[in-house]
Amino acid sequence: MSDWIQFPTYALVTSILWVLGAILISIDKNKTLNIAGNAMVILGTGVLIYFITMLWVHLERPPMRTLGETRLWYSAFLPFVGYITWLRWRYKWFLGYSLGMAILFLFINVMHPENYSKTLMPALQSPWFVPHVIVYIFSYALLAASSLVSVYGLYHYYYKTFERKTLLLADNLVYIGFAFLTLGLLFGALWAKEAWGHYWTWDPKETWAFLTWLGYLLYMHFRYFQPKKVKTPLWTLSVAFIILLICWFGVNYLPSAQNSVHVYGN
Amino acid sequence: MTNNQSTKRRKLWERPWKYKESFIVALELLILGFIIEVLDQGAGIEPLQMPYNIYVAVGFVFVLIFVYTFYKNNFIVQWLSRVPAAMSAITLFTVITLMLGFIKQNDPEAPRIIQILGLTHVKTSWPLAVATIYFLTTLGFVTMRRAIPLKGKNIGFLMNHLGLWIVITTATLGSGDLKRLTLNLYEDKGYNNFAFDKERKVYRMPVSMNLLDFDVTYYPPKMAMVDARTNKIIYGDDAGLIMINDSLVANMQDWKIGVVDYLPFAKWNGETFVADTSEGASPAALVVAMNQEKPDTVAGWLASGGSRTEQKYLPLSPERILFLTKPEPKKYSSEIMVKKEDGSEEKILLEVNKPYKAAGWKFYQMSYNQQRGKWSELSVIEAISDPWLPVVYVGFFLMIGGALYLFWIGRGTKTIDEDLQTKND
Repeated sequence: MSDWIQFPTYALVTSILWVLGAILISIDKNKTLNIAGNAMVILGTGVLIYFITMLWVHLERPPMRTLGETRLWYSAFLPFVGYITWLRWRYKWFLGYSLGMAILFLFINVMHPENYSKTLMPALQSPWFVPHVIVYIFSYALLAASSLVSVYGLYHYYYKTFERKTLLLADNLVYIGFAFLTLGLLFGALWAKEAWGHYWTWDPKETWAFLTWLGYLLYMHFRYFQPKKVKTPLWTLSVAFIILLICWFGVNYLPSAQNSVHVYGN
Repeated sequence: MTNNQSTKRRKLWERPWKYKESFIVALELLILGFIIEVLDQGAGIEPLQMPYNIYVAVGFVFVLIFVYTFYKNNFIVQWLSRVPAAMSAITLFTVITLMLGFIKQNDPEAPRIIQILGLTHVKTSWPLAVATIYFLTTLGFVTMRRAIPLKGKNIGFLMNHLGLWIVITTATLGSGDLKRLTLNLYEDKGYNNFAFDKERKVYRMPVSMNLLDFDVTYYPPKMAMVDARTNKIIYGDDAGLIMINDSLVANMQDWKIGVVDYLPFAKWNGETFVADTSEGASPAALVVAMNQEKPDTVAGWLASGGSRTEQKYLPLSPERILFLTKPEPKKYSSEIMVKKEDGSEEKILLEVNKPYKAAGWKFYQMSYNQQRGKWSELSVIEAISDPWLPVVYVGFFLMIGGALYLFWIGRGTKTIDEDLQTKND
């Protein structure tokens, strides 16, 4: 059994494995070290997933209710995104960034210990709960990754070292992330019909989720229509991520959101 | 002049229209929406109801198809079915939704100017209506452009675009036919088929319901420690909220706390807590707290408190107090006998997330008398009818299909050269 009390230990072990793995991969000296680096990244992620599983068992409910719990999933998904992208595109910096972001989220959770609430209000007790949240977090992980790519691209654009490959990587992340974002939105709507009686009520979280969706929609259409342009899509992608962050964290603090069904505070 | 001579500068409004023209049109439409709203004194739009919304839906589809079929080569239709117009429509939609995201809705204290511009009721405002028409027109044309002639490689595109068109059109037009009614059912009061809406207008339902039993089950309460000087709950690694059970042993700061006895429903009989499930009972736990640092042991009852039971807490020291939180509901449900129009009867169990469907209505367990909790004699049921739902769902499932396509195919494995050669259409 694991609960939040043991979390700092797991977070530390995971972080150390990730950092060592990333260092070994970036040294890239010989095959053995490279394999060891890969193994460490995978093992670190495995440790974190083990913790989440045990927390799930301990809480007797999916650990997906509070912000801290969603940060945990985020930390688990980011390495997947980084690792698969690395396997496909061989961007070491990208793997490093993904792991760094994941460690940052683990660190935030260590700094803000959560309570041990096992309770889950009746409306959340639904078969839609797990797919809705998992799909969303996976999408956020991919879209955050695409924004990292856009910032990286902007940096290189202004220093005149931009490579077109960067935009293709951003495209792939956005397309897959957007597909998941759409699924998350629709699953949420289907669930809302069963739990709250209507599929769309312009709840502040819904409004901001829709805005996020529109932001990435703009990026995709712009890219499709003007593939040669570099600066505008990169900036669009960076701004879309700000909307995503408002949707994820900011909504809880908006005065208009006090009655939101998505605010489950600690 | 250097080597740029071949690319002569476009003039504004030179055909075909591109980004500049598209965004100017979108801005004009936004201003138009505000002007109508202001002329209307900020009254907004009353959603259309059956059959008028059906007329509008059919009329809109007809106009789109007619115009596209006969004026496909008109430069305005050409412009409306291409990306720059779509981008400006998405942006217009985004700008108006941003206002919805930031401005508090239905706020009677908002400045008059905000109200008269429709910004306190964005959902039913003219700017949103105008933006929606523009959005759906571009979306409709581009869908037709890709659908005729139908090609296999466009299937994902069509699922996404047609799905979205169907969802936004039917959800917007159907909102006037959405009925959300409330039914109050009381135990032992017999059948009831009267429901009322937000304005307290009464409706007669096609089914009547008789509440046989209402029940709430609770999670066990949580034990927490309070800092007596600040009156705040202590969170952190060594404290926090701990859900109670009858064999719990927990370490909280310097104290080791063991539960000797736990009663989910109990009342105080003057000397001690005894199990009692009658109204107003409270969860109670007998605990022993031992200080780990110095010899000190405190024992006593904790109780969350109920409508007829006082809360009981346990001071451990001048700085530390132990208490039990109020239990949170795990599930609430109504056992209901339903009588349908044909006279047949059915016994159902209605609970949150498990609505009951009958005679074109969906019934939801919504609320109860919170003060009386488990012993509430009242169960509040919500009855919802949304005749447009099946069509909205067709759109949803098309979009789900489109999203899976997007996930599977994505941007494909396009090379840099192929990317740069993508046609600007």
